[in-house]
Amino acid sequence: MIEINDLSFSYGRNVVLQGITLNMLPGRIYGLLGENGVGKTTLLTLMCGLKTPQAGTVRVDGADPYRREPDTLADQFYLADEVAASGSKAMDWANTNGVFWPHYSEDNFKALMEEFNVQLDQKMKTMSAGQLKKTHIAFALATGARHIFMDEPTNGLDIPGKTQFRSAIMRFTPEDSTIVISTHQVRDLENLIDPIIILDRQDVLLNASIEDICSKLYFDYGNELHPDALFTEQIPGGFIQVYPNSTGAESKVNIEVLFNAVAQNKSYIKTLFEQK
Amino acid sequence: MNKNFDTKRLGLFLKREIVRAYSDMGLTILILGLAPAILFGVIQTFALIIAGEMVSFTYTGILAFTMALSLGSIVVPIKLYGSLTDKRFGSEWLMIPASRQEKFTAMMLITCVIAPLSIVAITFVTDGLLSLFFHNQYGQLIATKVNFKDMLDFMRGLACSISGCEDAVDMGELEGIRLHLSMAGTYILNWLEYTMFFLLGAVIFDKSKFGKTLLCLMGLSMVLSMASTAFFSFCNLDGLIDALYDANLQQLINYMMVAIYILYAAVILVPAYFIWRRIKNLKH
Repeated sequence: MIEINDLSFSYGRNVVLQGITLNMLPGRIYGLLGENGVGKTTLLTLMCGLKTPQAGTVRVDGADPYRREPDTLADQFYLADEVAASGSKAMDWANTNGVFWPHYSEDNFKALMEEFNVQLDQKMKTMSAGQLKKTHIAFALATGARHIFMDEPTNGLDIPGKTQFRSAIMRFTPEDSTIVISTHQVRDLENLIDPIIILDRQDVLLNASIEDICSKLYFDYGNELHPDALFTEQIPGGFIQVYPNSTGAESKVNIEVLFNAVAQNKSYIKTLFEQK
Repeated sequence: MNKNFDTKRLGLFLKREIVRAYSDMGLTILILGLAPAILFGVIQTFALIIAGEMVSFTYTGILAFTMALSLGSIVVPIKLYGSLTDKRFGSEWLMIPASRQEKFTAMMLITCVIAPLSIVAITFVTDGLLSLFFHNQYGQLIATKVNFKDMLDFMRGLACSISGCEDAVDMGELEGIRLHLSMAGTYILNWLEYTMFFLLGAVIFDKSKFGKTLLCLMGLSMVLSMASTAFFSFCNLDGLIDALYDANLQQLINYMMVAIYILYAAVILVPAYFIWRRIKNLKH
């Protein structure tokens, strides 16, 4: 379990995160959303121990990740937005690094690379950005780490790659793992991320499961405007609207529309989701 | 398994770093190791073009070896660990499940032992082959020349040939004096000294690592020279000169050597401490 308590972080005078409190449970794939500069990457790097909080605490299974103790590191993997290209072949690189993760599976790495259509004997320096990202994703999932932090994992992936990514996440992650994915490409990860965390400048606007969101908000794909709509987007043949779910009817969450609705109704959404 | 230092994990991390070093700068190390052969080739090619025959330049090996080691002590740390400040490489390196102590130890072993030994090994093999096949032009093995006395004689000869004097420096006074710092020791200490400084620069500065480290070294030298000038201008020079006249030369040199050892230890250990601190506190 990841526990974030009253966390604050700033770059010089630029306060990015302030008083953030969150808990992340095992067995979930968290989608971390937010506008540019709200601190998504900062939060990820704080959770994996690449940074230390200026105030508050981050605990991953009770341990302080910034201490970067081997046991803590062996149970987590951080996939950065931009990844380094090693001079080795993909398979050699994976095996040389994989030995540090006790649950690393060479077979899983091979299977994932096959799924991503990337050659195992290809030198990583000769790979395209997408192939390199796929290799790192394959490695991240093959480590068997219980906490995986991914920053914009679908950036640079081709269309089949995005589908393969979703499939790989579902097939190759342990059931008790906590996966946190920071992304702007919400359409790539629809039907995958649950719960959804929406960060605002120095605040958490939303931290709710899809089920919870569905019970409180209704996503209307009709062609009539609703007077209580929190957000409306015109699409060919009608509208997508979000409004409070007063009837308890079920609907399919559109994450992009949800994000816009939250961004335009911050205090309302916070109050709505704080109600039990 | 020890939480912070496990020899098996250190071995695995060291293996990872050796593989990376081989891939990232294997060619550089090979070129540095082949420096005597390269220099010998260049000199003899020019000699053949200009004079039409090969010339005897028996200091090719030691000269190229010294230059290669000096260059290596700067290039190796910057090329191998300069990318630690890069977000992509640095975060991957920091997130490898090995402790900070193991990473620091591996870093020291790679830059201070494995890299120089690789250069020396390649050089000595090349040196052996050159000495075997071109003995008249190349001369003896480097190892036979690695001593202070020969090097001083060579420097004296060079100074004489440049100035045109008969004997620029009278080395007679040094005969029979045991020099505590051997030539090989000097090479080792110089490697460690420069490697530590440039490694510190590599992990501290985000950009222009070489230039900034060089500037810092120059700044430090200036501060030290000013401090020593200030010291000698304030101290009793007459008393010092009298003491020097009275002192036994060998004893004086021995004291100087002890002072140099202490200085070398400080020059190596102080940057090592700050490198350790940097690894401990590095953020991305």
